[in-house]
Amino acid sequence: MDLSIPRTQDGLEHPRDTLAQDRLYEQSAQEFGAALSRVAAAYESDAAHRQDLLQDMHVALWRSFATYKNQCSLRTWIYRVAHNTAATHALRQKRSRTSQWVGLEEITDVAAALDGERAADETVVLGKLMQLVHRLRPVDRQIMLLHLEGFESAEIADVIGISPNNVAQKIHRTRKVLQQHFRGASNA
Amino acid sequence: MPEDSTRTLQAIWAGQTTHPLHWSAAQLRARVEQFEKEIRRRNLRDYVSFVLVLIGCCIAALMASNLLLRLGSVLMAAWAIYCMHGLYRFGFIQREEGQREDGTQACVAHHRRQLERQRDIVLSWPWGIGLAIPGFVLFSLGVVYSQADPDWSIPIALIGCFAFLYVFLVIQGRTQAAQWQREIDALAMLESDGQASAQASR
Repeated sequence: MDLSIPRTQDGLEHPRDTLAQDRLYEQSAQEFGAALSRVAAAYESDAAHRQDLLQDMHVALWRSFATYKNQCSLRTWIYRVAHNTAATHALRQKRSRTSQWVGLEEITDVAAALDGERAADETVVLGKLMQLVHRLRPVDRQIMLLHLEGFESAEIADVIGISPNNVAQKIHRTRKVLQQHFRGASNA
Repeated sequence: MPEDSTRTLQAIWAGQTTHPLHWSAAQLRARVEQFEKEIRRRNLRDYVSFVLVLIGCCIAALMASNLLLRLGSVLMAAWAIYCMHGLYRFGFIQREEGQREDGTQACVAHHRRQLERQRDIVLSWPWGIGLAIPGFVLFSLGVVYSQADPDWSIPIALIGCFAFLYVFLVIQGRTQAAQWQREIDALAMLESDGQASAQASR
């Protein structure tokens, strides 16, 4: 699929062109629609609020394409917009409860680790994964989500804006946390 | 964690049931227009409320029978102006185009700015309330003073309540701001590390 910014006949980009913006949005929504839904689910457990957040993400994405000039890859851009919108939403919703969020280093008490049959049940695993993700501070949450989406360290560093070394350390910690909580999930 | 476990979790994550939004650009544009119309209406309502308070205070200041009433009204008018400025500055009254989230800001920088904004809001409370309380107290004293047989118990009780409320809000705001400041500092450290690393790789 061609997701590049359409160019004028003389080769100049015209991202402010409304048609180009619409086209880029529609193509991105088609390709990344499910990913945006997953991000919304990871930030908002309430179904009605999740739908509002998803709509906000789509609006933010469409608006953002007016300023997209290939500053970074399209995938990085889309995930940045999605996570930034979701983090703003989370901060607004939890303004007085941000103290409930914890970092990867502190998360030990989400629930007992899954073993055996329960770990083989994908719905149970997913439920617990969501529970874990919802407790994390935005930056740690973003790293875990991007890791689950299959991003490499360098790409995560690009989206988040921290050094690849830091990302590597955080991913190491993420894997440890996942290991603690999802022993036996490979049998699922 | 074993690689196959990571892959399994990634597969479970990617395989979850999702309900993607299917909006055409035209539907989206209609939604944005509706949203902006709602913001304009809300902005207008909020500004009109403060303008009415401001006009009321100015009239009271001009018609006041004593100096206390006049000073109280002037301070309340100053409070209304300060609130209008605060609403605009902190974006409670959103600009017509709404708040934009774009991809030029990496997530850490974006989150840090959001926290800075929240911190500035709570740190500005004492100023906003600090103008309203003396204004209200002077106004109350002025009303009592203008009576033939003044009863001072009510204004004294009001001053006590407001002083308690003020101290409580200031302490609460500062505690919250300090908590956010710690998060801001941690994010700034992560960010500067990332910038140094990006420069080194160039």
